[in-house]
Amino acid sequence: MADDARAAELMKQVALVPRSEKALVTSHATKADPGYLVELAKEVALANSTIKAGACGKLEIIAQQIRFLQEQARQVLLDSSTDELINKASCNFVKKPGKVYHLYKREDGKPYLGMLSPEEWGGNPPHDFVGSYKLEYDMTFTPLEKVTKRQQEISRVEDLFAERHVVADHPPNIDIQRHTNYNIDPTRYINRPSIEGVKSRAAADPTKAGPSNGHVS
Amino acid sequence: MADNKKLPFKVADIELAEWGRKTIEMAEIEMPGLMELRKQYGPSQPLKGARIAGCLHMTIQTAVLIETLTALGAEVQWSSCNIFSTQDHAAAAIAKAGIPVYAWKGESDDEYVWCIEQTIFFPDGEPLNMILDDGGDLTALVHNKYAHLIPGIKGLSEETTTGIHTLHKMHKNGELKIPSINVNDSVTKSKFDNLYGCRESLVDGIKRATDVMLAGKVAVVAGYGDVGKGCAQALRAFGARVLITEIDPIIALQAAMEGYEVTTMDEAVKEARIFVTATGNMKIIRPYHFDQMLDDAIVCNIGHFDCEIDVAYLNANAKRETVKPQVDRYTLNNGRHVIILAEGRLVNLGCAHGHPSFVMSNSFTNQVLAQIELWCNPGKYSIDVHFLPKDLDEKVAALHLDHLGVKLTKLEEDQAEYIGVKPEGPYKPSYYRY
Repeated sequence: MADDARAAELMKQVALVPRSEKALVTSHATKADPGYLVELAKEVALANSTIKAGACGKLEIIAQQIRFLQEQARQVLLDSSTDELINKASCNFVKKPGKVYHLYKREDGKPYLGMLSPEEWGGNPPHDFVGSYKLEYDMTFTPLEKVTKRQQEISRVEDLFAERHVVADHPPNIDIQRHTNYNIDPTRYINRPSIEGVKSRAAADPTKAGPSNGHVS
Repeated sequence: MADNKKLPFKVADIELAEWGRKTIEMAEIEMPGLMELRKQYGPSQPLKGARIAGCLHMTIQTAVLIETLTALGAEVQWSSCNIFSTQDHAAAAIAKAGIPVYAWKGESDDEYVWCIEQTIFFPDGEPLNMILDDGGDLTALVHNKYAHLIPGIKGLSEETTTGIHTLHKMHKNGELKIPSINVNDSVTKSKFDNLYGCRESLVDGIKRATDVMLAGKVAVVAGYGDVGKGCAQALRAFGARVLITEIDPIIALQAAMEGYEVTTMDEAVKEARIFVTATGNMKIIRPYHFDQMLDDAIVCNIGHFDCEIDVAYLNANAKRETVKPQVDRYTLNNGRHVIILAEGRLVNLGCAHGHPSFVMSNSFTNQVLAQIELWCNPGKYSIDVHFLPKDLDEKVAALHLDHLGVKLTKLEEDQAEYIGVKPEGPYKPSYYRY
């Protein structure tokens, strides 16, 4: 009974090709066998599951990406709120990038930035220690314990730069300007100057003017 | 008691050392008294064995003082006597030279005390045996917290008026335990530092802050003491017409005899464009004065404390706009403006770089001679506050003559006898006023 009920349910999902208006064949010939219909319905159900599984797989990846982005966004907000907290903390000296400073909290809860670490205070700083931070050159603060990681990241970037410089130091031996035909002046796209720069250059030497103001000359 | 994990130094940025060194070398040329002491006493090393803890503004000029002390054989450790007065490049250069220095511009009050405490014990664990102080904070710390070290301390020299007040008060109460020399009241200190120092640094501060043309302006200087005399002279030299206010009839007469118009602030406020307070007193420029001033009058102070100008009134009753650090333009209720420099604090320090090296060489040569006197003559000075002997005061001045190309006339034997002095001095009695 249960099988019959399931078969009936499955069959609802089977969309047979609509009947033609003109009956060219006998009704017998067009009458579907219920067993076959069930088979057909099962096929459709399987296909649905496969599609669903495929879609789910894809959605799962997107979901993962969303979760990752959310985490990144949360971290960015967290970092910026830490930076803001440290920047807002009272401080008597001019903060210099590359230096490590130490955040303390007074009895009234007000944070301030000091030059001395808890160790330099002999393990007995005058106020509660919050953390030590290095001021980076982008004016963000990196917690001291993460400084090594950040250093590694920076040196990786530096390596990349170094590689690029190697390429720049040994450019391929091709005279690009001579070997390439342009409809535009390619120098416009190399080290692109400000609008004023382009204008003044155009005024000084009309042959060097870019296409956008070619009509002027 | 000695701290084994003692830091070799603590400064804001050691990378500033090279810049500091270049600036120190320039200052050395302008500090002939100290450089001459290095030449005269370098070979004999009179300060050998002295462990001097110094607490005095860690500036370029002080760096030259510190290196003079070490050149004479002393071991030195340093902190600054003001949380904001350290020049970080000077501190860096001194640290790089291997001298333990604990100072940076912008210490907190706790850090300030920490810095001073670092100078008590030397790297080998031995405590200080000499004090060089400015303002009395190191002296007080040693007397209160490190009293057990006092028997080992041979003497202390004090740089400034505030510190001298404290020493006299301590002595009166029987609390002073160390023989002390008052460097502040050497003639070559207060009569030079205050007068000639301010004569150059007042206008330096006003000019850096406002770029105002002084010629033709009416300026009022409140107080015609050493500082006021220097300020009035400088303003007049620029072509300003200078008014003086004064409470002391002798000094008021001095000002009048110099050709200054002496009047009251209530009168002066009607025509002056530039206001300078140099009284050492409070409530000199009051709220109703601001209301009567000409539009965009420039108001500044060069007296020690910031109580001469009522800046608090302006902050509460006028709209403040900061033009740049240390320069504020206030809009009064009457629509007129007042420009306040350095928030009413010392304008020569806030808006310029304080006193020039040459005049500080006078003060610091006194310091070095005081340290030599105390270290080399144990027992000569009782537990009291002493002046530096007159012959040393004269020596300080003598050391600065060559650099200026001064040709000194020699007193002959009979001439000396005629005025009752020795040919080599001292030339004046201690009560002489100069």
